[in-house]
Amino acid sequence: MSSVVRIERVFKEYLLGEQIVQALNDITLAIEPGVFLAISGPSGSGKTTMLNLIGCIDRPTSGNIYINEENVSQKSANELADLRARSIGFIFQTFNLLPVLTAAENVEYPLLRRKDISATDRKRRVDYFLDIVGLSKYANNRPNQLSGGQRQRVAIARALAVKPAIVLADEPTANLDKATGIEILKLMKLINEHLGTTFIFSTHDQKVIDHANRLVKVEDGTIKAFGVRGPKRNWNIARVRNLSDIAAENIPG
Amino acid sequence: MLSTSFRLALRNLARNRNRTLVAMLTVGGGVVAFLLAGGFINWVFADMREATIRSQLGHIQIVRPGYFEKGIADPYSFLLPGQSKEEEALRNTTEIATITPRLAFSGLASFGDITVGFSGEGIDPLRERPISTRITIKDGQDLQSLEETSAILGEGLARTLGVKPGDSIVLLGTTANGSANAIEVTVAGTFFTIYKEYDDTALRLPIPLARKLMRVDGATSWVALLERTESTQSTIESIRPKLPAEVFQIIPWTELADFYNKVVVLFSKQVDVVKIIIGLIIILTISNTQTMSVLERTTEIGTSLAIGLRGSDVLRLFLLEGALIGIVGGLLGIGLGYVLGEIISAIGIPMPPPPGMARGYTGQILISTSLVVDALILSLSTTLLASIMPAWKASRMNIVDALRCNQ
Repeated sequence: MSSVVRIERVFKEYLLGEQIVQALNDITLAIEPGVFLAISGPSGSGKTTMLNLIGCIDRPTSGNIYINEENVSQKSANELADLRARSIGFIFQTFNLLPVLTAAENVEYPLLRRKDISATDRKRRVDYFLDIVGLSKYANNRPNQLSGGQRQRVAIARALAVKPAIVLADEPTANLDKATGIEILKLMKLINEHLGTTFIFSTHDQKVIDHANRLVKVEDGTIKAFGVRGPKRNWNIARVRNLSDIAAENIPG
Repeated sequence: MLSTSFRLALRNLARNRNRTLVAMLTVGGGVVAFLLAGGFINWVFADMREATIRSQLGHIQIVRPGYFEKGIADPYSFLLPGQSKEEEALRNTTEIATITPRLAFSGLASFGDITVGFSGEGIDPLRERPISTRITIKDGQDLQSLEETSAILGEGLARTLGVKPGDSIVLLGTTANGSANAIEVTVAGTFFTIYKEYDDTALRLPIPLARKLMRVDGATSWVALLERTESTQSTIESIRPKLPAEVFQIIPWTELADFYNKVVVLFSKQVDVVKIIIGLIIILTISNTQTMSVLERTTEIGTSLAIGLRGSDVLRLFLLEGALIGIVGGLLGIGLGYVLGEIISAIGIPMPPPPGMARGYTGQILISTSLVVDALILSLSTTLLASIMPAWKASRMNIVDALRCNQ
C-alpha cells in the first residue's frame, strides 16, 4: 500500500541564539492512509517539529518528505500553500479560529482560495461538516460565543472541510477539560473511521494515546518505537535500537 | 476571496475600535489640514487671478506680432486699426463677453510744480467696464463716456501728484512723429487695484483723448473678456482662424500675468511642502497602527498561512485594511474640512497686505473638486504606503514562529 506520508532520513536543526539545536535526527517513517496515529513523547522531544514538517509549514534541514508520494522538500512557498489548502487540515492546541469570523465563516475560510469549489459547494460543505461536529445551530456564533470544546469542534470542521488527505492535530485536547477532551477524541476517531481521513496527532497524554491505532514514540529527536494496535487493543511495539533500523518496512502490522 | 478579504478587513478594523478611530481621525485631521491650507491658497489663486484679469489683462489680448517684445518702447509701429472687420467678428463671437480697444502710452503728468512719469491707457469707458470690475474707485468717479476730457489715476500716482477729483492736470506725451504734445484733463477719480506697483503709475482716460495726445488712430491692443476663465484656451483656438498669424498675435492672460504666475509657483511649492509634512505624519501614525495590528494578530497570520493562504493573500488583507483607513479617514476629513471651510469663509481670514500689494484682504477657503481628489489621493496613498512594510512582514512571516507566538 502506498503511504500518505513518507519521511526519508530527515534532519531538522534550529538555531537558538548561537546554539544549534538538533530537533529531529535522521527520521524515517511511512504512514499508511486512514490511520489514527499518535506521536508521543515528552516535551521537547520533537513531536511538534515532526508535525510541522509533515504539515509543510516547516522545511527539513536535510532529507525528503513525501505527501501522497509527492516530494514536497523542493516546493516553493506558494506551491506548499496550495498543497496545504488541498491536502492538509490543521487542528491546533489553542483552536486558532479567526475571532472576527463566525463558526461557519471559519470553516469556509480555507475553501475560499479553492477555485475548483463553487460557492454552492462551499456552503454545502460548511453545513455538512458543521453538522458532523454537531454545531449547526452555532454556525453564526463567533468563537468568543463558543466554549473551548465547541471551538475545537469548529477547528475540526475547518480541517475537514478541505477534504484533506491528512489531518494534523498538535495536542488537540491539551486546552480542554478531561471530559471535553475525550469527547473531541471520540469525534476525531469517528470521523477517521467513517470518512477514512488520516489523523496524525501529537500528545504526551496516555489517555489520548489509548484512542490511537498507530503510535510513534519520539525522544530527543529520534523515533524510539513504533506501535500498532492489535486485534485485542494491545500494542505490538517495535523498538528501534539503531538509526539504520528506522525504515518504513520496519513498522509492524 | 476579495469580498471575504474586504469583510475580514472591515471586521478586523472594527475589532479594535479605539485604535481604528484614532487612525482614521489622524488621517481625517491630516486631510482637514491639507484642505484648509490648500483651500486658502486656492482662494488666493482664484481671487488674484480674477483681480489680475479684471483690473488689467482681460482674458485674451490681441496685438500686432512682437508688440510685447518691442512695442512698449515704440508702440506706434504696432498699432491695430481703430475699426476693423476682425474686431467686429470677434465682438460677435459667443464665448467673448466683451472686447475693447486699448491704447497704451507713457508720458509725464504735471500738477502745479510736480511732474511725474505715468503709464497711460486710453480706454472705451463703457466697453471697458466689465473688464475692469476689480478696479475700485477710491475717490470721485469712474470715466463715463468717450467724449469727456477726464482721467482716473491710480491712488499712488494721485498721491505723488497731490491731486484730488476735480483738479486739472497736464499730460505730456510724445507723438507718433516724435514731437511733444500736451493736453489738460480733469481728474475724475482715483482708483486702486491689488497691485501697488500698478497703482503708483497708472492713469486711464478715454481712448479718443489718448489718440489726440499721441496723434495716432487705432489701438495697441484689443482686450477680450470671456464668460469663463477656464475657456481661455478653447476660445483662443476658436478665434485663431479669424485672425491671420502674420498680422495678429493672440496672447492669453497667463502669458502676461508674470506676478500671478510667480505667486502660483511659490505657493504651490508651499502647499506641496505642507502635503509632504501631512503625508509623513499620516505614514508614521498608520505605520505604527498597522505594525501593532500585525504583532497582535501574529497567531492568526500563522494560522491563515498554515491552512493554505498564500503570503500574497495576507499582504492584500493588510493593504486593504490600510486602504479602508485611508478612504474612511479621508472621507471624514473631507466632510469636516468642507464644513470648517464654509464656517471660516463666512467669518473671513483677515490678512495683512502681502509684498507688492497696497491693501490687506479678507481671505476665504475655496475647496475645489481637484483639491478634494488630491486630499483623497493623499489619504489613500499615505495609508497604503504606511501599510506596505507591516503587510509585507506579515506576508513573509515564518509560520511555525507565528503559531508559537501566543503559546
